[in-house]
Amino acid sequence: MMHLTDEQLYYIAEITEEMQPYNDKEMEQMEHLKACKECYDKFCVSLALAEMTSESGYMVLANIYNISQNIAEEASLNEKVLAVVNVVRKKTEASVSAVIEQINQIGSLLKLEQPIALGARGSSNTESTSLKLEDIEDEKTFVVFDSQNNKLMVQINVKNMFQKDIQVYLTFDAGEIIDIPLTKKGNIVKGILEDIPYMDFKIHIENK
Amino acid sequence: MRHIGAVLLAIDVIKVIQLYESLQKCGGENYMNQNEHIEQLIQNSKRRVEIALKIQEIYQKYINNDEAFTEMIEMVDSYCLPWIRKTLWKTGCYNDENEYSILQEAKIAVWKNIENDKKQKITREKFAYFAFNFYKYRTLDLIRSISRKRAKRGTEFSLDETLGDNKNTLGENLSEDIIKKETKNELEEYEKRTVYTKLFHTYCLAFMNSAAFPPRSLALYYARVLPHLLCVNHNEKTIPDSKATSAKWAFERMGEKTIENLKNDSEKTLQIDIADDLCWCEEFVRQLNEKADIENEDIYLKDVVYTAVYNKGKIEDWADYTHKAVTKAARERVINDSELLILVKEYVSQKDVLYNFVKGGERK
Repeated sequence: MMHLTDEQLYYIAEITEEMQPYNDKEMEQMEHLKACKECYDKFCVSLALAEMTSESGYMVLANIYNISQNIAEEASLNEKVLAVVNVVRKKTEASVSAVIEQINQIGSLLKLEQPIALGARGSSNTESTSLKLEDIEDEKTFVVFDSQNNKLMVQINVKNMFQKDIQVYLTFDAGEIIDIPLTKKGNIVKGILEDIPYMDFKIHIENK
Repeated sequence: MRHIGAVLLAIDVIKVIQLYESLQKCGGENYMNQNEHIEQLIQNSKRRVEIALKIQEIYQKYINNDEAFTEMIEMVDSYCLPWIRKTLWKTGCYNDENEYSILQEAKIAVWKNIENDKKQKITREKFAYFAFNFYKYRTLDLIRSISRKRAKRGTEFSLDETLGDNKNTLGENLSEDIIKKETKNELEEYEKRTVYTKLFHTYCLAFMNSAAFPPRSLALYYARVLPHLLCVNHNEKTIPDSKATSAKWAFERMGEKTIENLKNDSEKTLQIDIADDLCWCEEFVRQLNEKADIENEDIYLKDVVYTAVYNKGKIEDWADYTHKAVTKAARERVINDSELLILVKEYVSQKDVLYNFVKGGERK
């Protein structure tokens, strides 16, 4: 017998996956598969592909990849700006306090808010020297600003982001811009900046 | 008469392990002998033909008022059980309660249809195949429902997960035997996941590197691949029962987007969720940047609003045709990847044996 055609291999794999009985012609083809290694290899692969692309096979894939509607829709957004955070500091004789909040949150990919434990204490404008904003969906993405020591730390988990190349920079009312040097370890991108020259500034987190 | 239900006898998990070990000893390879594998599929087919004929005989007697309903339904169960078990096993949903629940619900549906046939004096030619569909869709509905619960909870299984109708939790049911079985199941699950992820990646590479007309490849992605991938996590039904594609869903999903936007969206979703290296090939992009003659307008293909030009019928045809072509291309890729080929052959040949033992059923 000649080798099975692509069409025959496709069909016989489909009916095998569906556990439909073979007719006489298909029985002959199966007999050929017993002896022909080339066709057998193709049959096995066709069978595995038929299983994977069956309704139940896709359910296995859906569970493996766990794709949600939100993620798929998120992918259709082409946002460059991930978040903009406004920092306003106030100096008193004894200390430096600060207010830190995300601006233009609508449309931003990151939603930075105070962690619940801190938020419950109403810390955004207290005398606390360290202020933290954390992404509501990912605690590994956050901004921490220590107003007393004038030190800023930004960490972003790029695991679920389409664009993994991130840039973070500060802008000041005087028009000056300072880039924060970032290091990447696995999916975590981190940057620290000390001695920020002006009291008030904006932190821009963007895709490159 | 041979009682078909009696051939599904219980064996314990040790036999599954022994079977695995014996398979692994065959010629140093982890898969069954080619001849044995195909012979087994042939024998399975012959057995199903035999049962289907018997079912037809009893069904006709029943329609003619010869009481044989219980016997017939047992035969239908036996006919459908291998597929149900294989599918439950494949999706990690197998347990006695799930199997029982499917059989009960399907039996009721079959019974209602037979009674209807009786009233209308209709005799179906291939009743076993007709009845099989009731079992099939009950199985898929149950798996979909379990998969949705799992997706909501994440991939980890909870000890508080109730197993079937008796409301026992996984934690309550854990015993030494079950732990042994779970370990074995985890191994199988890991192997299955490996095959599935590698194969699906290959399938995606095949359609993204195809030289086909871009709207054809996009039809495959939007009408077949994406609705299936979203079926578990999507609130609405993305794909109808018994349909491999959903042109309607694709049409709505595409909205008024240009082909270039659809290209970008699909690429991003696949890169985020499946693999970083998935991108539409140069040939695809080249065709997008060519002028297309659409309704006497000279316009770049990338600027065409897909749904304004191609209708649902076209999308459905293209999705099915392209799937066949892509399956062939994916198959060639696997054949040229000796490591993956071995993995696939091992999975396919072992799977066809192992699912028979999920409950501990062994054919005589």
